[in-house]
Amino acid sequence: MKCYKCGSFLYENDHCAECGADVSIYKKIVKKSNEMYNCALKMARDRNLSGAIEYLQVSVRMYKANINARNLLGLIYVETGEYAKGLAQWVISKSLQSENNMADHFLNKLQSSRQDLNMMNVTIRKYNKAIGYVKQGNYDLAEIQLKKLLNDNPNMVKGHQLLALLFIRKKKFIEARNALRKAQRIDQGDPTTISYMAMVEEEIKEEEQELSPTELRNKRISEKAESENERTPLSGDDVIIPKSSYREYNPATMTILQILIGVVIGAAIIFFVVMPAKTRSVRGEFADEIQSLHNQIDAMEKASEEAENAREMETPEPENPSYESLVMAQIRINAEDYQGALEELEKVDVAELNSEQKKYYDEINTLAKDTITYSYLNEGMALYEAALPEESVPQFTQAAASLQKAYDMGARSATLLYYLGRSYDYMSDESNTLKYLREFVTEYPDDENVEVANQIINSWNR
Amino acid sequence: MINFDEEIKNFHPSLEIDDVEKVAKTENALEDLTDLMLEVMYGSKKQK
Repeated sequence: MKCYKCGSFLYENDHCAECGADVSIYKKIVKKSNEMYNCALKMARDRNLSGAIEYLQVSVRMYKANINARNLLGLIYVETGEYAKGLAQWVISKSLQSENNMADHFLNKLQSSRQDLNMMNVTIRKYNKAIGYVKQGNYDLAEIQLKKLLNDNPNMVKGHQLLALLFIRKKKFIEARNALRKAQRIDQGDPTTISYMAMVEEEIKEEEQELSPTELRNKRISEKAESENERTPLSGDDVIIPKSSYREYNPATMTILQILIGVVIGAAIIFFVVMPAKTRSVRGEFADEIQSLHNQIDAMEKASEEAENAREMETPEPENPSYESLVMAQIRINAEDYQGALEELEKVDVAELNSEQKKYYDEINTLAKDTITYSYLNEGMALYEAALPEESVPQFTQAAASLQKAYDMGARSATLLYYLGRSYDYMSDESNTLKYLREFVTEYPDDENVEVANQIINSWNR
Repeated sequence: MINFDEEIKNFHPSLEIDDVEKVAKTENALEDLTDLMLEVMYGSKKQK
């Protein structure tokens, strides 16, 4: 410590040894300034940069020649992105103590690196531009500008705070919290960051209270993923390196894979090359044998066919001719030759038939007789009707013949007896007329033609 | 809830590198406690 009056070195006494000036108050002020610096240094080491700045500002207000305080203040300003303020502190420091000064080191370092100075200038201009956008209401442009600037210089606390404020305005509280966390990593004691963070946490808490546990869990997962995948915007100097598709495989995996590929190739060779050759070989070996078996089969089939033919040729006459007549009768019926069927049935000796055959005989015999009787009846009735207009005796004769056949075959009905009798009446055959009309009157007394029949009978009786 | 319009008033353009000299001069010209002490003791700050 030097005397404020003569600049000589001061000792423990309250007066300067050279000029005798009272330095007691002066020494207290300087001592207090140094104490403030020490506190600030501790805070700076704890990353409470805002608190450190407060202390250092007081320190240099007490004793502006406190070089250590000025240098530290400049360093903290630069760390938080306040480049102009930081450089100014170092310039003042150097002007106060041109030799053996840490500020000299800092300034020389900056002057030797044009890139650092350019970066500072660009960062400051981008920030000021973002502020301008905000004032104009172009919040989206401001957000983009801030993201770019923070990508280039992530230490600018004011930038993070302003970005957080823009997110808060859009109620993007998660993003705001992320920005504020970045600001806190640089300066934990910034009151603006702390107040914003408290508000944002409160808003997030309120939002989360409205969510179900599942939604909350999903939100946390997505937040975690977002924070992990958070990508900073590209600047013009960034180089995009494509992802390499190369992967280092485990040697054991590669060995197993190679074995599997070998097995597959081997199986394919066996299936497509060896198996067809083997099949062809086997087919060749057994071709003659197969041909021989085919010949044997053909010979056996031929012999069987000949035997069948011979058996057919040697088939004896049926021992039961009645059965054959029965079969033939059925054949005639199938051909609608009922008369022929009856002729065949007349050949049948019913005694030779068994019960089943006899039953069958009765069925087809009845069928054939009924059909023929019906045809005679129809024919007789048609001839009778045809003969009536001219009372043609020949036609009545034909009608009587047909109806008589039906009668002889056992047919009995009122119509048959009546018209058979009437036909014989027109033919003047008295006996037959009376025979059939009397039978008619006797058998069918309620028929409507009974009266006419009685009149004819009476006329013949007179 | 933070009032965006009020808060944004607290954000000011940052000083540029070209302003360093001006800032340094202004800052250096400020009196400190020792200046006040000398003024009190001697009635003039120029005596420092």
